[in-house]
Amino acid sequence: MAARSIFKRKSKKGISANDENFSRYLDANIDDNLESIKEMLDSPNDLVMRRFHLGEHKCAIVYIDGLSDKATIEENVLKNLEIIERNKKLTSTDKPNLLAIIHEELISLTSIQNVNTMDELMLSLLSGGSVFVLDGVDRVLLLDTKMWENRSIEEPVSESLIRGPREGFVENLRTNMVLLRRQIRDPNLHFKTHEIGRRSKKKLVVAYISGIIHPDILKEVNRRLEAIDTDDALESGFIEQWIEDSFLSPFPQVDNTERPDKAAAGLTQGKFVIILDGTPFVLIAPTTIGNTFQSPEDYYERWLIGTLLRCLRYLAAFITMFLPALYIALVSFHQGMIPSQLAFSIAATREGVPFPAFVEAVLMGVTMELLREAGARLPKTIGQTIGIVGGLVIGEAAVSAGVVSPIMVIVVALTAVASFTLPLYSVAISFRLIRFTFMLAAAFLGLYGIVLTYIMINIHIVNLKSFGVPYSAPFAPTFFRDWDDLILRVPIPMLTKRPEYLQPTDSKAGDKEGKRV
Amino acid sequence: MKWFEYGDETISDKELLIAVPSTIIGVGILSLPREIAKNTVSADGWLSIFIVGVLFIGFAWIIAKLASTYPHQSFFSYASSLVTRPIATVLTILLALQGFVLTAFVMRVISDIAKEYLFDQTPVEVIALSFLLVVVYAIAGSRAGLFRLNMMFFPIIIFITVLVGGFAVAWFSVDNYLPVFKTDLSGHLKAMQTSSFSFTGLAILLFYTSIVRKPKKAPKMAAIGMAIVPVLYIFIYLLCLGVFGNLATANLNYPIIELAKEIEVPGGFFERFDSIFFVIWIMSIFNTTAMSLDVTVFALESISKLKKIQLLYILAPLIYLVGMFPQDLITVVQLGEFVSYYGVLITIFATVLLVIMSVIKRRRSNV
Amino acid sequence: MSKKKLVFLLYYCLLTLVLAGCWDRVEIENRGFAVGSAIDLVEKKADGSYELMLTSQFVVPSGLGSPVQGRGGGQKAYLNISATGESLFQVNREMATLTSQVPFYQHLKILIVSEDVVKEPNLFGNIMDLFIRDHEMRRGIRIVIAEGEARKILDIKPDNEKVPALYLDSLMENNYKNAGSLKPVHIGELQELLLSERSYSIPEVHFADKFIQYKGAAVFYGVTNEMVDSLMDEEAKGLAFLTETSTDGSIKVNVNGEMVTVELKSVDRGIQVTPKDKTDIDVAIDIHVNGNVAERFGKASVRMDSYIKKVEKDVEDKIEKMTTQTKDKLQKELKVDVIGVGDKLYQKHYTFWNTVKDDWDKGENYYSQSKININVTAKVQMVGSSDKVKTTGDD
Repeated sequence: MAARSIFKRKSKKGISANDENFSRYLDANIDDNLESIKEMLDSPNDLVMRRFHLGEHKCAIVYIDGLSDKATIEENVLKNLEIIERNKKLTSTDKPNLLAIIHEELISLTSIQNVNTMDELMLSLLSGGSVFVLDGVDRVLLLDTKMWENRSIEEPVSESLIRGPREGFVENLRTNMVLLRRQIRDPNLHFKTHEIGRRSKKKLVVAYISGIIHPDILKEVNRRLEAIDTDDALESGFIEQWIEDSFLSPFPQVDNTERPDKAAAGLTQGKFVIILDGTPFVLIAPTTIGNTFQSPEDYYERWLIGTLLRCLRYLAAFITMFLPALYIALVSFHQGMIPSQLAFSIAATREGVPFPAFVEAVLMGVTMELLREAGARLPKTIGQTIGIVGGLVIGEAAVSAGVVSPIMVIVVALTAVASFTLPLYSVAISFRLIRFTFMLAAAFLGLYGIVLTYIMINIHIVNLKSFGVPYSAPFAPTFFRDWDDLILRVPIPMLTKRPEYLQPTDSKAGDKEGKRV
Repeated sequence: MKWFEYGDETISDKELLIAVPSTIIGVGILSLPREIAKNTVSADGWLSIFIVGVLFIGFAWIIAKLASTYPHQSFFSYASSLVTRPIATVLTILLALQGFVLTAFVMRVISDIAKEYLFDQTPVEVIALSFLLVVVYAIAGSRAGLFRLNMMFFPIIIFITVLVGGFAVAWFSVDNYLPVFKTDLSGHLKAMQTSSFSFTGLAILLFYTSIVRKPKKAPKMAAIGMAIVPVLYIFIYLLCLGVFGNLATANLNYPIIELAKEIEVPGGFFERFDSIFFVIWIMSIFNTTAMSLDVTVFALESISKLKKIQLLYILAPLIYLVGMFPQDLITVVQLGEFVSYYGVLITIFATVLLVIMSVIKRRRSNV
Repeated sequence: MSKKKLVFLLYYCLLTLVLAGCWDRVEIENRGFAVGSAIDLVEKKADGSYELMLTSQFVVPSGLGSPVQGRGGGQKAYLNISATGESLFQVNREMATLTSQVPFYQHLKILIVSEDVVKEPNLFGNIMDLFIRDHEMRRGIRIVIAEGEARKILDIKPDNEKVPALYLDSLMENNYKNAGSLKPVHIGELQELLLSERSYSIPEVHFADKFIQYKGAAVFYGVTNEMVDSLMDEEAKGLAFLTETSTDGSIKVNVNGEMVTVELKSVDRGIQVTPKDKTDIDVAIDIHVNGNVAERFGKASVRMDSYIKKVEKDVEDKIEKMTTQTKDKLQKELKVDVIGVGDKLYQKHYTFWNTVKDDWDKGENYYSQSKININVTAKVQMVGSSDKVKTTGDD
């Protein structure tokens, strides 16, 4: 519902002045063509136009220096054409035919397109291709000579695992697709390409395994992707925010990852993956609240350990959201619920603290967030120092200055540590956000406020959807069969079914027979 | 966005199953052990709950059967076809009124108990208002979402009850169950009467069966769901009796909460388990309130041209006013008695009327 | 979500925030934690009402010493405040004016009631009402009866604990587990007892300089809830056997002139009631104890079957003597059914019970006319890790 209203907000207006240049057809005259290319790009100095003659025909190769591979152009285009020129074989042929011959026989490149609009020419030129122009023909050849500097495949920084593949996605779309293909060698692994950004014209690929994914999910994502209307999508986060179901929700409805293994796992479960050129973060959807607590490592370790880790994360989520709120509720409202001895020692440590528990908690909570943010922004080496300085010095000083009580420091530290154990960064942030809501509720109505807020968040979750899949699945609507991979993580040989809540077309992921011999 | 297979506004049979106990289990059980212990000797009251429970299981089955013979038809539409449009309208309004008063009453009771166990100074008005706002927020969402909420909270409620039961073992004395079967008939009848009031809320079946995806399964599911209620009631009743004995149970306002207060969890992070128990029980009470308000909205939606949200805006302040109207505990109790009597009677009346008409109609069409 | 809905929602949320001015927020350090209370009788007025004194012991948390600041060395860790009045609730309110903190009773552990109070008919039941009715009170508050002034007990200075009430609390818990004293009575149980009009007993303590000593058991008559007598030492022990309120403890017997101490491991009590007629009720009390030989003066082998048999026999005799003595006192002298014969009648012979319940330990007092037989069986299970410790010894 919400997503649609965004789509309505921006009606498609005409683009800027030189739009007409883009849609226009090419000229037969080489000079006119080259001139208009120059004019459109405002003759930048990295634009290379190499004119030469092929027999009596004027030709030119146009490319942008740095985007295209010079060696390829020399080796596979210019050298071949020189040989032709020396042989003088082609002089008599008429021009359109000549272009076809050059296309089919003379240029040894794998990808060549024969086009006749300025639009296509420009797109190719600006994405690293080179253009072969022949005088007297209103068509040009677009040569795929893309070659720009890429980061090599590295270990994903944002999701580090102890055990698991060390390679992560990079900024290059092709490489990322390769990484996915290397995981899944199924002919049914399909890639549907979209072009995103009116100006940036970035490639976006929706990967899915047809025969597993529910066709409606696919239809819906393509519909939403087509509705995107923006100048540029700098990162997959743009895409995420365009296509998510509810932008008011604190919960991310699209999962993101840097890990090909995680993306591949999503594909085999019946989800789709969106890869955007220029970012190593791919999107996985539909996602549900249960996915929040899953990490690839749960599956790489043995099931007991995997299950234990899962439970630990549920506990961590609970601590992250509730602990400071419970502290406030117990210390300011329901002192009777604290075991007597503990109550006395809390009272003793709080003596002289000038603030009510809520202010104390907010103070420390905000400090913690500041430290975390500072640590994340600074270079790694300094970041660590910040952590130590902040954690130790500020905490210690605050306690001895009597601004906060030592118990509060424990509570805040525990909360922070717990929030870092959540495998998804974006979810961890949401939980931390919700924590403050709980704290506020606790400060006003104690435990009663906490439980009402909890109910409200549940109401929100049950009404939330991710591409039509209820966010609360498989808890409710309950799919008991999916509970084998929810709080528990049953042994791998028993995980024979794909998640039911995604309604995969092919539900069997494996067979129990002949699995373990 | 009804493109996916489990689109909104329809519910699965499982969800119907859970919705029944979720709606019925609420504030009634908090005082039920006391009411029953008053009228019976030692622990005989379980028999009364059992008998009433069985009757209500049958009743639930009949209601769901009736509603599911007209699959995917709203109450108003099948009622109109059975007993003319005006009578159907009256029936719908009467049933909606039941949900309305029940919501107001439950909201008031929860606020009173919360004030007693969690607060001291906080005015009841604020406690009630914040509760009602959450309920309204829930109903403003999708109807299917409400059923999912039931699914999410119900296990928690069962869990906390069993937990209290587990911890209570140390305080348990089997002697409290002796002697057995000594209650006379009138005592049982009285106990049955009071316990039947803790079974209010079956009217939801008349309405929600229409949005069940597989209506054929509805009667069975409703009966199973209904069966959970007496089982839980008897469990709680026997628990209270085993710990407190008959006399103390009969004199405690909310025996089950006191029971949670009695137990001391060894090495626990929390003492005063009563607060924890009650706070979690709020979820159950939330379910009751949300379902009964939603059924009111659902019923009125079918006979008026107003939209859900508009109805909600009209109903919510009225509910708040009705709930806040009683000035003292006695008036609240009277309101509760009215709600229970009215709820049970109107549900039975509507069902019996419709079942008779439906049988007559079928006879006629067969002839 | 429509814009209008959003606005309304925000409006409501703000309204709640404004309305909810956190009425109940009291920070923990502003709470005065009462851990023990003592009730004394000041005077009985001419019009039949009573002037009571409530003494509450509040914890001073900083006095307990927190490990961080290391303060509180010399500071007293508690504060006793007394106030008098007719209604305990009023007294309590009055107390609030005497302290800078808000009196808070959710951590109340122990309630000490003076003998003077409980010896007045009906008064005990009435003052307990507040402690049962008020939701602030736990059901696990322990009740003891004090000989003499109750508030003095809150002033003892134990060496190992800083707060007297907490000392008393753990003393009662541990004593009950190890030393064979009577099981402490919780206020929750007391409610059941008060409601049932059944006679009962509550542990009684007395003040001895630095220590608290268990004196015995205060016996209450259920109808008026007044204390009728207190049972001392042996009698109290006998009561523990009869009511199964003590499972541990030790029995000292003389076997062939050598002293043997048997440590009791379990005590099972069963009551069989055979009502033939209102005035002819047979009651058989079976007490079965299991124990180990804990200490022995002498040199005879304990491994011998005959010796063990003898020890068992002596233990049986001893217990039988103790319990019979107690039983006679309770049944013939005090005429209160603390043992719970009436309960058994109610449970097993309900119809018969209905005919006698109004004249059980009141009125006709059929209870005192019943025939109660006590049968004790003892079993020595283990003799410790060695047979003899020495071969010579004083015979």
